[in-house]
Amino acid sequence: MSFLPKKLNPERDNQQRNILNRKSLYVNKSRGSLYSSEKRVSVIFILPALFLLFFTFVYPLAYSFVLSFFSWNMLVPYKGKVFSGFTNYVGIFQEPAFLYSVRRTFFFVAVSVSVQFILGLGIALLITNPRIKVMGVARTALLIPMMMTPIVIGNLWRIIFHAVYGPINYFLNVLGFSSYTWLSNPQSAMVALIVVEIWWQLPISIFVLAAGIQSLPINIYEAAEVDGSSKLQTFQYLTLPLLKPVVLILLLLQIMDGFRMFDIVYGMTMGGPGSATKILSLLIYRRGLKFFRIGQATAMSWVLLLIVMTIGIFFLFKSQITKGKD
Amino acid sequence: MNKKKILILVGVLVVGVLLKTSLGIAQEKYKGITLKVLCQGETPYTPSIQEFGKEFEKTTGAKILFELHPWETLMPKIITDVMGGAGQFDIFVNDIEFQYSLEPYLMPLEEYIEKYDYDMEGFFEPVYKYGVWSPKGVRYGLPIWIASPYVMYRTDLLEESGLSEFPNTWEEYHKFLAAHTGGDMYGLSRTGVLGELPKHFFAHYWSGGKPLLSPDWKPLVNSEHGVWSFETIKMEMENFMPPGALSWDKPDSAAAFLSGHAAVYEGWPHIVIRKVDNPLESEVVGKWALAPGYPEGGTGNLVHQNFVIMSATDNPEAAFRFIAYCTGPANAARLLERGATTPRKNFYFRPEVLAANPWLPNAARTIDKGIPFLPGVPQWLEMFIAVGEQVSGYLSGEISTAKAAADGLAAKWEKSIVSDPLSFKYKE
Repeated sequence: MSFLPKKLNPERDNQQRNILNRKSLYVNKSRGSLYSSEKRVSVIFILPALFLLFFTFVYPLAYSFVLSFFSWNMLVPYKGKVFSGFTNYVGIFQEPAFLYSVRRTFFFVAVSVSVQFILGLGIALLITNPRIKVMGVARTALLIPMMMTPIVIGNLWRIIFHAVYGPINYFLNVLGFSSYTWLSNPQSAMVALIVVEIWWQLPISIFVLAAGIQSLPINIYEAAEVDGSSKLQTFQYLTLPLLKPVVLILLLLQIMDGFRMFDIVYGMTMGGPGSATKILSLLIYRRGLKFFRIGQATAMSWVLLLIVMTIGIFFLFKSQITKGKD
Repeated sequence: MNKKKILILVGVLVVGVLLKTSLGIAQEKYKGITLKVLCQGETPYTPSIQEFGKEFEKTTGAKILFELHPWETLMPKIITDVMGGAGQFDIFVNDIEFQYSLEPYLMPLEEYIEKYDYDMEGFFEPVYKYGVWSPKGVRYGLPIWIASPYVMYRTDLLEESGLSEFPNTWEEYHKFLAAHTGGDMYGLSRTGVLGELPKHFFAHYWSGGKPLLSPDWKPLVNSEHGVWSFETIKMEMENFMPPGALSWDKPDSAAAFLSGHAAVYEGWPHIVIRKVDNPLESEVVGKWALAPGYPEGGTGNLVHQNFVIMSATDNPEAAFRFIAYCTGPANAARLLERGATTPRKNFYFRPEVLAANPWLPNAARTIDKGIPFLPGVPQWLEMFIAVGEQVSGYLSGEISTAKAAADGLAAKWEKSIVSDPLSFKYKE
């Protein structure tokens, strides 16, 4: 037994080194075989999911992209598919109906997402304020719109906005105002749609932002209070910057949802009056599944996808920058 | 037991087996066969054909499976079925316009009509004129239901106005509507949603007696009469209809007439006819009648729903026997009893039928004048929706003038036709 300090006991060090090397050899060898068999097993387990993903996502996406370069009207079977290059893409950008639909969609998304965010943040601040007791019932009530299916929401609000039989006009009359033709006027029909979209999506904003607010560190706020900062300063210089990552992701998801919205429009206005509420998703549906002009519909779908992807990449990029700064 | 008794017993058994077997063959001629029928739900005839299906099952042993869909999803369903090669349906029941696209996948029926001596007598004229697919002159369908938008009016209000018969000119018609607009009463109730507007346009346009397109497919809808049609629809909406009617669908317009708040109802008949004489659902029991049609010979688009047999069926004979059973004269009266306007005109004037349904003669007159939308044109739906979009755009103020709306419609139609030209001449 040696009483030399560990550093100065070469014999023991060599022994230990040899033991370690043998162990590592054993581990590496076994990890090598263990690792490859683990890998094999894991691949086998995820293969079914990969197959499913390929046939339900990758293949249809790729096929739709290919179809966008063909002229194909399924209602005229004798013509079949004819390769037309970029004709569909050029054609849709020259089509007033498509460009109008894009503008209406952007307007819809911009207004609904902005208002959702502002209202959502306000309500989230309220319900997370320890001084304000929000009952469980109220919190649950906030969730109700989220639980309803969009097509039901669309039809329900069509009745609510009904010019003759709807409750909104009824209460307006009771208060001494005259009825309004909410869904017959192109401007108010779009406003009605935005109101319904906000009503439906607001709970998501509220609860995501509330969760974000509740996860913020309390000590920073205590420090700010001690330093004498006002509520507005605290909100502006602490809360908002700290919430930025949550806000960016929330906005991204809501913008994507806004561009995809279909059921509510379908149930409420069917794109009318005229083309006032014919947003892109409805235009694509009509072109593809009513008129069966598959090439045009797939080209429009890919344009919509590229728009949403561009916005998504922008937000993710901003989110990465924010993370980097932190 | 002796030999004689055994022989008698065997003889009785053999005869019994033979009798049972012969009855069984006749009774269950199509046993083991399943016919799948794709059909629209919520039509006046759907309950009837489901009942006919059960009767056919009992008689022939064939199994009839109905798959019901709303109108909106029927076309995608059948088109994706045939284009995808699934061929899961034997029979398809719906508007004749669907045939214009499905023609390559349908079974011609002439051979079976002749083989089974199917009674082709007594139909409305449009069934003969439009029921045969015009380019080839082939019949693919047997009609189960026919209808055209009706004009229903309040008989008490007509009397009040001092009129003995319903106005037959647009001017008199508008005077009548104006006379009954005021307070919570409106002259006119009709639908305003996009998909329903085309029939109102056709009712006005076709009163001019001109076709929608020239024989060489040039749109004529932006003619002077076409512009007048747009203007008149708007004037009627602004002066004689409740506010917000542009967002009205069928239940809304029916409710206004049934509740006694409208002097005239224009629209599909089956929604109102079923309820109008029920005191629990109508305030106008016994106070209504059907006009012989729109003023000056106008007519909405004729709806003509057919049974067709898909060419991929494995059981063409059984399929034909079933559709012949549903559409045959024996069941025409039953359809009528259930409120479905049968395509067999001769039933409309039977004394016992008339006694129960005094409105039928004018229904028959309306149907006889009916014109289906763009016979033979596969891209009919996009041209139909284009009418709705232009009319809706003009009524809502999105399109500022009737001329712009009419020209826009003509442009859309030209684009549809140029993209998929047709080899035959247009004819109404």
